Amino acid sequence: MIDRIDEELCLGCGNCDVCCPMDVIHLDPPSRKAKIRYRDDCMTCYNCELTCPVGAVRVDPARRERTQAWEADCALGTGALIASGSDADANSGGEGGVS
Amino acid sequence: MDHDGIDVVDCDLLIVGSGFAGLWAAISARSKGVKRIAIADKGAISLTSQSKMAAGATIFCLPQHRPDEWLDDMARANSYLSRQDILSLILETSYSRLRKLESWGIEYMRLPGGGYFTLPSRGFERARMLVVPKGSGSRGGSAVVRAMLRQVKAPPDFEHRVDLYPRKMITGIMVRGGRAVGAVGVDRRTAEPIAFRSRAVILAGADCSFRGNYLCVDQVTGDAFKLAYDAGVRLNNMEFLVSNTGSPRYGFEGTGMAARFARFLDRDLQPFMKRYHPRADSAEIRYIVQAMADQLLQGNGPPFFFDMSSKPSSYIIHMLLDRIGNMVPLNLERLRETGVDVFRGPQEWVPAVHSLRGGIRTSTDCMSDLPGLFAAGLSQSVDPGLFNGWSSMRAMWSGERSGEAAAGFVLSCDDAGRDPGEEKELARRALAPLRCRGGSDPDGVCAALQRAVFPYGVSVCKDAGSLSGALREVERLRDELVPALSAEDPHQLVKAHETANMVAVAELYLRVSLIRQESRADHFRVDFPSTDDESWLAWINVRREPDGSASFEREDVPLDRYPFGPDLKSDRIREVGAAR
Ligand SMILES: Cc1cc2nc3c(=O)[nH]c(=O)nc-3n(C[C@H](O)[C@H](O)[C@H](O)COP(=O)(O)OP(=O)(O)OC[C@H]3O[C@@H](n4cnc5c(N)ncnc54)[C@H](O)[C@@H]3O)c2cc1C
Ligand code: SF4
Ligand code: SF4
Repeated sequence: MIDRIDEELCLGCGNCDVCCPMDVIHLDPPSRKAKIRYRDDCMTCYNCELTCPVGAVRVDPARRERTQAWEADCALGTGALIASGSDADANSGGEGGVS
Repeated sequence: MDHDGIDVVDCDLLIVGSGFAGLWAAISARSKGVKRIAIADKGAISLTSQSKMAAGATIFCLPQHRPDEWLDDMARANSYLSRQDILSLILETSYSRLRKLESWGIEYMRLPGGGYFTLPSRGFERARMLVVPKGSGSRGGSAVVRAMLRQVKAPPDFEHRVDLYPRKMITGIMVRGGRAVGAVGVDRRTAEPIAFRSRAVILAGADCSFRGNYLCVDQVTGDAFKLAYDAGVRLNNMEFLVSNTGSPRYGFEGTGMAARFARFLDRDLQPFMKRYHPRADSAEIRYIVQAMADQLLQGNGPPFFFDMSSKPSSYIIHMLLDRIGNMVPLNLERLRETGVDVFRGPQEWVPAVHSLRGGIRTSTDCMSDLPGLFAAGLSQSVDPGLFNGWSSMRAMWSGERSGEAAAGFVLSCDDAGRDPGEEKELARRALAPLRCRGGSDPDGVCAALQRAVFPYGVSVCKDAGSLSGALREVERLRDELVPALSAEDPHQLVKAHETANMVAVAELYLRVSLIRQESRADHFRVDFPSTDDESWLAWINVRREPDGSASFEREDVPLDRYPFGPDLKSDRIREVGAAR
């Protein structure tokens, strides 16, 4: 999640505003400084930090809370699961290397 | 030009979305003679797309490879619901796209001897991908979109223009005289409406992630699916919701590349995949996710863990990840700063809802049922599975192909004229959430949707009871909360539309999941655990009727025209409970 924008360092170039997929950062026209407007929408993609020419943006690796599959009331059926089926004959995908 | 406060753009071809698919479509339509092309994107042009954030691993079938063998593997891995006609075209032409990318300044990783460095794509036996593209100081998908954007911005002459419209979220397709004639949208910052009048539209707005817990997909909200559905065209493969895996706390890219080098562990740090699949930890992600769900039933998790610490695997993965570029090295560095070294020991790991693999049903020319409406990239339905490096190749092929086909269409049809009344009505609907004060909050509706769709019983191991319960909840959201979605500002307005789109797509997902009473590819029905080729080797097409209801039809896979099919005599029943 975006942590902070150092306004002292910010040049007002607008790169972080343009490159944010979630519209979290807006360049504030009067001050020409980048501001975090919608922090909760941040998806921790680092686009802003990667694009800032002066290192004014800092993103923390922790992401916002996400809905997990087992948190919701999960009524699983009783039969279970998979195994090989039609893939049973499938074997190695080969090692990385030359082709 | 303006009317009723609507900004109007006249063009020949409108492209919605600017990832690999949208950019390539523009380049190829222009090379075929289309003069006025407009690209609209709800974010920045290409720089906020999934393509930009992708690692850039891409399946290319090189001259020394056999496309027929790869097609065989791919058809099988997709349980024969692939469009084999499209797959053949993709594989047979992929090398030419590699050459084009290279001519635009992209280089994929090579071995010291000069040959391409390739990796197997998790889940396929023979298909391989090229990795770590670089060019002009960047790497990964970022390098590729930048190279493509340079092509888009460098017109061969002034007659052939590509105009870029960032921050325009498209909310409705205009249909007149039985064809697509443009689209209406809103500006993400000002909420000013805009109408694009065109002779054809390419939808390249990607798929739907339901803002799940995979990384960098919160902006992927099924807009193109909903736009096409509202325009009355058929979608299919909508029952295939694919989960990947990842950390519940931080983003991690590379689970696919780590195939063969890493292990999945249960809560007691015991490996479990050998019991589920002959390829164990290198099996397709779907088997890993389903195994995690089964382990959960047996009380062996959560938590689950992912372990990349064994040598030399940790070294190889580390080396690759550090080279990928984009966010990956920075993320790893930040994690280390906060005391997390993903290569040191087991990391807590969970299934991560990633992508709905269905989409718009098209011809091999990428045209939908509606003349003039084309689909490219992940908006198009090609196959139900998720395989490393394949999504990018699909997006590149369909971008190129839809651009050419749309050019042919544009150059042979008349101007569709204008209907300011239709534009005004679509603009009114686009702005509706701004007028609805004190209604439902987009984030709240999105969270309720996720609580309905993400449980294992609905997203991974489906059964009729869980699916029906989820459907009732989604119908309630559709009827009670979506019409009242409210937005206080343009930012919220976009989220209101995205939320409405996700609710509509979730309803289709649940309905079609209930209809398919068998298990196939990522659609696993606990109550119908067998793959039933006799009855279900068919796509389920869905379209919106004029009265607003959804209609469903079965379309048999034309195996008589496809090179590969299942051996109907073989026992394809999944071994229920074999892991016990
Ligand atoms: C982190 C990450 C890593 C990945 N790594 C790989 C990889 O290594 N290999 C691989 O093959 N695939 C990878 N993928 C998947 C791959 O990136 C995508 O499948 C592919 O790039 C899709 O291309 P596209 O052009 O269809 O869509 P996108 O690149 O998503 O572009 C769609 C565009 O449409 C715009 N849009 C959507 N709705 C609207 C609307 N209503 N109005 C206007 N614009 C709209 C979006 O803003 C976006 O810019 C990865 C994905 C992610 C998220
Ligand atoms: S990390 Fe990504 S989503 Fe978050 S503020 Fe930066 S650019 Fe926006
Ligand atoms: S990219 Fe950096 S310098 Fe430019 S506006 Fe953002 S914070 Fe300021």
